[in-house]
Amino acid sequence: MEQRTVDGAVAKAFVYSGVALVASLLVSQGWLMGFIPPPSPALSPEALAAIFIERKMGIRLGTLIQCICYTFWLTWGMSITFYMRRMERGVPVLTYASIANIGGGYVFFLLMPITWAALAFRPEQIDPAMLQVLNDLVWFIFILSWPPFALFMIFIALAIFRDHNVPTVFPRWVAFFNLWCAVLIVPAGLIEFFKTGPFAYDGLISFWFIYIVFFGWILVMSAVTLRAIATDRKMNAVPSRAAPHLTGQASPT
Amino acid sequence: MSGAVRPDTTRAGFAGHVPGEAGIWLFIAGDMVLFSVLFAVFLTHRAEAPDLFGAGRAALDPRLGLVNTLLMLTSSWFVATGVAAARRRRPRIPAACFAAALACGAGFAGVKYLEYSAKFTAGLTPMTDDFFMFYFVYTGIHMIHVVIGMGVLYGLIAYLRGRDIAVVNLQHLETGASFWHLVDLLWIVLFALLYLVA
Repeated sequence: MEQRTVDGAVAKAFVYSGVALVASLLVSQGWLMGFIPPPSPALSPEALAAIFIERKMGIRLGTLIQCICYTFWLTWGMSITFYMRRMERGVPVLTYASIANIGGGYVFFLLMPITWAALAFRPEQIDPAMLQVLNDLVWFIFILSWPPFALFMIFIALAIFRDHNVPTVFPRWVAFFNLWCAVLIVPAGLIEFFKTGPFAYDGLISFWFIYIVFFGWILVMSAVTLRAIATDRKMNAVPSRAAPHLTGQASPT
Repeated sequence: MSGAVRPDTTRAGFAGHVPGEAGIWLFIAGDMVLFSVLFAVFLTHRAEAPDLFGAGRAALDPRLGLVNTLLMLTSSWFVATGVAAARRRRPRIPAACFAAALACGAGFAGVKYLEYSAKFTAGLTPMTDDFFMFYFVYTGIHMIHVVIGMGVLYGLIAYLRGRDIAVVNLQHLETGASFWHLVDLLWIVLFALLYLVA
């Protein structure tokens, strides 16, 4: 078991990077860019171009923050994977699959601010029709990319269900919570079909509900992982104090 | 929240017993939150355009909806019977009941296929108007639940195969069964909302 010990300090920093991701979303997309909720997909190209021209400084600043903080998808995702590794026996299939999945996930995250930044670079010179298509593309990247993220939730749930530790590394309700989130973000696929109403990309279901579920999921999983880190520290502290000759240290920190 | 699965297998233990493990109830409650939001959105839009929604409802075939409701209720009965038989340690009956429920689920999907294709032939699509947007989206989301539920039922059948009923963890059966009952319950509300309520 010794080789599966997780460095609590690194793991904790990784978890908090996810919290920073959510906070950066509110600051950048909400406050600086004014894109919570998004501009309506039914808006005319000219009206949308006017928004980009008017808010170009806010969008540039916001996308810069996003480029930094959205990279934290990688670190945050890995904080969960450390613990999934410990749940699995034999070849850690779910852990491997999750690592690959997370590596792909942050590409989606970064593509959003990069595309927006390009649009805010010279919005006065872009044909409004083209600007509209590219702005649609950002929201499509954001919302339509739900399947790999749902898959990660399912991987987490499966790892918890098959966890051989007693007690389990994550409580079992976390598995059901992840399955629930995976089902809840399915309606995201509907943004392809509607320009107005609850299933458009600025709608009650496809935007608000999906956003709250997804970023709420990040926060809940952060709290759960922090608890696993704290439990770890308690468990590790006891045996090393009882048998200091095994670790070669008199007082472990 | 205890991590271990408690095999609660004594009949006396079922007084005040919560079926399945606690986590599935989190899932069920969470899913009902989603559907409550969906139903509220539907009712809000209907209040704004009662004539359009009335015409849409009239264009649906209540007989197909009713057949599907009966299929769902029958499947739930099979699932409940299967779990009850497992509690009484009856061999083979639980797996047969879950298979029958699975067949009902397949029948439900077949009827849905007929219903959708009839709508498409009549030129009614999710883009036709608000009523048909809700009709297709909501029944579609429910259909995803049916497919997942059929996967769960198949999982229960596979779990029972090659195991003596005495060593089967009843809590696993109850967890899967609870999900199927949720699928049934959601359909009944959808049926009333889309086909019946004027």
